[in-house]
Amino acid sequence: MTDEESMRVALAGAPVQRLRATLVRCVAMLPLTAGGTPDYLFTSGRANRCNPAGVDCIYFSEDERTARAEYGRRLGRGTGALQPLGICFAEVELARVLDLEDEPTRNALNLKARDLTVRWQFAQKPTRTQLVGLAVSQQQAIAAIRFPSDAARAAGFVGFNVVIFRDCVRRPDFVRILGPTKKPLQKWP
Amino acid sequence: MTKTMKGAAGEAGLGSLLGRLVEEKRRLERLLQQVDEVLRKASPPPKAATGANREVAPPRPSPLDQVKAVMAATADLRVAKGNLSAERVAKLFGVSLSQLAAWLGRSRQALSKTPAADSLQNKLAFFEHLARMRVVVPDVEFRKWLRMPNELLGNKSPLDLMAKGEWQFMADYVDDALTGAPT
Repeated sequence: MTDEESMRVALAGAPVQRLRATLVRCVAMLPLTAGGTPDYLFTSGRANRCNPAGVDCIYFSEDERTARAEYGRRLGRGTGALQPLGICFAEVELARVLDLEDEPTRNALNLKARDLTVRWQFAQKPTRTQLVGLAVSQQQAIAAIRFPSDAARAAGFVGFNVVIFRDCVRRPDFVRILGPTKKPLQKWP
Repeated sequence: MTKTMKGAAGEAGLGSLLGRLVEEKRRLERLLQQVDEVLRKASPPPKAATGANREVAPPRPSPLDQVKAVMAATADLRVAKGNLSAERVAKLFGVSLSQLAAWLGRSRQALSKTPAADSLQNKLAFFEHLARMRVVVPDVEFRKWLRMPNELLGNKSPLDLMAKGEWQFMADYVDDALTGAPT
């Protein structure tokens, strides 16, 4: 059985939790607004901590401090900190979310704590957390993964991110970008 | 009345087909991206530091390629006919033309003579990608960022990795920074 297949099998038995929260994301202002109408739910399909390349998903943080730590980490200390920054908030309600902070969930997925902080950027093959994301993207029951923020850890505090898989968000679940009126600026599904 | 209804139904059908077409296009793009990723991991990255004067594929397409304001941030690296200029790149990056020539696998003389040669464009495009960071930082800060070791880069600086030929890695890094991807 390949790593991908065994992860799919493990996912079927993993505990899930409901998530109802307001999540945050920081984006550089110009790329966000330059195209005219901002695409707040833009998915690049690029690899990241919980997805291999080619998977449509979006990452949010659970609080603004974590979102800022994530945003600033690539820019380096000090650099760009005073430049215009876009922050958007998403109201999410997801019935089935994998919580990698939860030890029984990690055990079910055969994940170790160190798998959550691995340098995925340098990995030569998909990391364990990317395999979890791939398995999630290939089913419909689970829509997101909650995991500890490595940027927050590096900055000396505890914060969490949530990655939401676009094609797995099915009604009555939703992701709504909050705007000035009751009508969301953008939404999934 | 019937004609109007038929027309509306036709438009709805066309809209639905267009929607499916757009979705399929996106899926194909994602699939191509996955193929690119697999191929990239299966083959070594361009190693400019080896000095090999060989052809290099341009950077992987980026969603930011279509954002005019992002492209405008690096317009000053281009000469009148639109080609990227090695001289302008060297100046912005704060490196000597000899240094850049070594990274590009060319001689300093060749680079001085034709700094915006067509044959250099694929390689220079990676440097242009890095320069997109100027969307969020002024030039002075950009040069600092280039030289500042970053724990995300294994405590190397962006310039260290460019010197090692990790061009696509750095281009992806900048794209992720500008699109707000977490770490």
